[in-house]
Amino acid sequence: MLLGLLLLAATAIPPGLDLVTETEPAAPAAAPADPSSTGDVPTFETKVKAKRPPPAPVAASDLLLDAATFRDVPRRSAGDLLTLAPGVVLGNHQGEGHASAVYLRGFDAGEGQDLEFRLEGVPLNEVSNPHGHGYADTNFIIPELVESVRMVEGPFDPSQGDFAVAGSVEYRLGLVERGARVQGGMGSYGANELLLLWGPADAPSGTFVGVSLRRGDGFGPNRAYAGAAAMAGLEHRLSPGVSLRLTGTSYATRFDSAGVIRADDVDAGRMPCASGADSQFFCSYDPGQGGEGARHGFAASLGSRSQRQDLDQTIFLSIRRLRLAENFTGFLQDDPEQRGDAREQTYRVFTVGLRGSLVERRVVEELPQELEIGYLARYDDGDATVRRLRRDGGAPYATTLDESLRVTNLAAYAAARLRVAERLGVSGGLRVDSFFFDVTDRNRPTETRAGPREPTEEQGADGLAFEPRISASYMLAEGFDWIASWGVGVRSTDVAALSDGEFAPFATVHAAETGLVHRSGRNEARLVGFVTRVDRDMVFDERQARNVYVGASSRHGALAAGRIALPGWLDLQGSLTWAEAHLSPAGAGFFDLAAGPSLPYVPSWVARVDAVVGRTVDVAGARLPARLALGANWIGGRPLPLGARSDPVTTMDLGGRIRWESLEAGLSVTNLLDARYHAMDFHYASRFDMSATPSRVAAPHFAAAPPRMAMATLAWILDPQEDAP
Amino acid sequence: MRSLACAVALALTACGGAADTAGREVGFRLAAESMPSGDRPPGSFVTRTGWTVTLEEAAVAIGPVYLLSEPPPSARRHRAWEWLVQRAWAHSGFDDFDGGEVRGEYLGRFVIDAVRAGPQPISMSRGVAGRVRSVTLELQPPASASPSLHGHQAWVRGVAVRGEETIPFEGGLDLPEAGTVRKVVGIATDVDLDDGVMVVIELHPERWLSEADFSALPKPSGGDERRTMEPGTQPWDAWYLGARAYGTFTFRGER
Repeated sequence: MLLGLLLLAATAIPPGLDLVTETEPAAPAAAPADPSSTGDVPTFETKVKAKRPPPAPVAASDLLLDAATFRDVPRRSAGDLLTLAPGVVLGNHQGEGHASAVYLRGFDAGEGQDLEFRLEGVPLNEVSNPHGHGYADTNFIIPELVESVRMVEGPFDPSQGDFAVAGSVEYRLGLVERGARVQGGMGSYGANELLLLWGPADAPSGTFVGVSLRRGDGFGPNRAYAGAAAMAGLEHRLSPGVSLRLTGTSYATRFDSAGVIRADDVDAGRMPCASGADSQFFCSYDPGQGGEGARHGFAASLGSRSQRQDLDQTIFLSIRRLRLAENFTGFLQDDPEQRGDAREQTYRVFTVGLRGSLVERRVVEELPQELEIGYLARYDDGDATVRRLRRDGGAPYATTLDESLRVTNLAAYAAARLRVAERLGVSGGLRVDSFFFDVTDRNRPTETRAGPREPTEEQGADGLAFEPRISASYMLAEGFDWIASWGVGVRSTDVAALSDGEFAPFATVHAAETGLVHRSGRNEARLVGFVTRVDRDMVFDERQARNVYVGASSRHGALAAGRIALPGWLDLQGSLTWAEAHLSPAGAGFFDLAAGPSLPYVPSWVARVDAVVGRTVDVAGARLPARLALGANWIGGRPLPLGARSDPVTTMDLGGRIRWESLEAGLSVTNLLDARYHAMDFHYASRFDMSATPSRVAAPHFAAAPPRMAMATLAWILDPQEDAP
Repeated sequence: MRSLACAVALALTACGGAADTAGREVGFRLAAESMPSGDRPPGSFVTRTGWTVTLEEAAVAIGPVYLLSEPPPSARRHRAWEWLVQRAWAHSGFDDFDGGEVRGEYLGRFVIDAVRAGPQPISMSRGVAGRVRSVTLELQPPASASPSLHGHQAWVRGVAVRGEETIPFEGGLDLPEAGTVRKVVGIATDVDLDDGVMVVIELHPERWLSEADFSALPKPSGGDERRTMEPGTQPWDAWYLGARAYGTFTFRGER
């Protein structure tokens, strides 16, 4: 019914707020006595205050993702917002509370190993998390509070830090829709959601409160979840040009996980579930999989803006706890006892840090010039353990990792954005990252040939990385720029792989790209080619349930992306990305792009379309603003081990909402076509049937992607600033 | 135009063709063969204790079998200096032998007739192309009763002659399901696994009884002259060890 109304919508509603504008306190719009007298667009008042536009892009793939405009395309998490960027594919093998793995530009960036995540300048990648070095869980971010996402695909900006191998992501928070929203939702598979958003109408978008409560049974056995998140921000202007921004976050979750299952067991109907195809496809072996997580953090930023200088200082701290239990191999590794291969990974860390930057602007020969210096100081103090669990009862029976870690990352950079000529710009700089590792290994043997010894051992190491980055842009015509970039990025070393006194090695990426970028208002188009080479790449090892080093790798590819905004009714963006990734043989050079075997699982072709249509709908004489959004995704066949290739996957998501006075009804449907596909593929040996002779030849496994799921919401909007969704 | 054609070709390759990822699936045959000792027929050999043995019946159940990519530590000393300065192992070197990637496997059970000449086909199997540097096999009981085994995991019946002493004997061997007793881990080999290759398990039955002293078998109390190899007798104990000795099984590949 609602969809029908949305599809029948015929009248334009106001466009979304421009991201480079700021909504100022405005009196709630008075409904016109006669809507027809005001034209097709319901009136409202939005005061747009001049705000400094974001800095010029440092690369052709320096993207400002318009999360606000495309918020109606169903995306259930802040991580899902990354699919607004060309070529990004997400996959999750561990359940609702587990961070998604990100595939980008030929990288299997894991859950953060190759992608730097930041929230308001605060680094989110978790150092030496036993599940994956750099694991970044953005599930604590309430997606409705994400105002914008800046994504740089590649290490081209000197401000990009540790883990910026494939690129970096920075979330900016803000509540664009002022007032208060109380929203409840019910959906498929027992999903229930409650969302509270509040932002005083007379305060800037950085002042807000958001609370999100979610629970559900999940789309199959062992997929139940529950989570709660709260975020609060205060943006206070101390004086003209000087503002203080405080941000607090609190989050906890508990979730079950169906884990990964063997494809041949599904095909043969051997899974321990009902015999139907769907029952088998969504089945699970080990009910002990899942986890809990919590994150509580605080950040304070002081910003000063003037004509000639910008100064930013941020202090942040957070407490993080994570426990994951997963069983990839069943009963294969604990031979001959066969107690079970499940691994429990725990991580607890306290993080504190400082970040700051100073930008100086000058005009030289009538050309604007900028110099920037910045720094990061981050300290992580925590513990990590990995234990093996019995299949029956889940009791731990062996400890394979038990360490406390203290890691300090001090970084500084200097950069310049120079306008050499009216049409030619050069930007770049040098970043230096230093790391100091202090580890207490508590899992050493208590007996050696020399006699008894203590089970603990202290280890220390340090490392220093130099990361030059440079870009050049040339304005071919008004709105048309050619940009070429080159940069070096690093991923620090997992402390679990360090030796005492070692000069810690880094994984280093050399990346280059060039492209044409066209911008005209909110319309834009880009065509980009890229090349990268990583000297110490990592891939997921199912036996260890974590990423391990595999040697050098190289990637190359291209993308085409565009966005069309028809003011008043349509926003459309689409992209097509091609990427190839190869495991480089020994001696291969930077430009030996296709040397070596392809890296499996990395999508070669990805196409994505997001579209949002705004209309007003006549219902019983009332004109109701409504929006309809569609997201379509196509992932070409992924290379699989042994020369195989997966089937292409096409998915569509549909969302919409309609408002009547203070009430708003919404509906979102994900995987509208109800496609059955693999969220992630794996290839390894496993044994889940203890009665059968164990097969040790690697076999295809997969994590099932969600089927079609719907969520209906009803919101009560207090003090609405606008008439339209 | 040529660039466009290349792009289209690349697209077609990436969308629908095979991927050039590492590894290739292959089909190979698995067979077993009882190897002759010198110019004698299979099952006829001379032991280190001086007995000339002629087996009339001999069989053993084998399986599963795993073909592995990594050599055992004993096969790694291929450099001169490693012979001179050997690596110190904190354990036997085999306890934790993993073998690396499993390139092929046979998960069933089969019975080798140890007195039959020539390869005995076992199965067609799928595997991953590449060098097989070691094999791990297990001596598990057969899935179903086999007449040639007389209810045991292995069976022998024959005659041992030393000088003027002739001892007919027979007996069955059963290995307990404890620890790694039923496993033969890390048998060194070097076979290129590829489509059409036949991997042959070579059984050397002379290794079973090479340390057996048949005179230690107790004489039967009845009128039957055939002596029985039973647990606790020296020949049986020698067989218990010899059945899993590293020289008992070797492997070869042939097309």
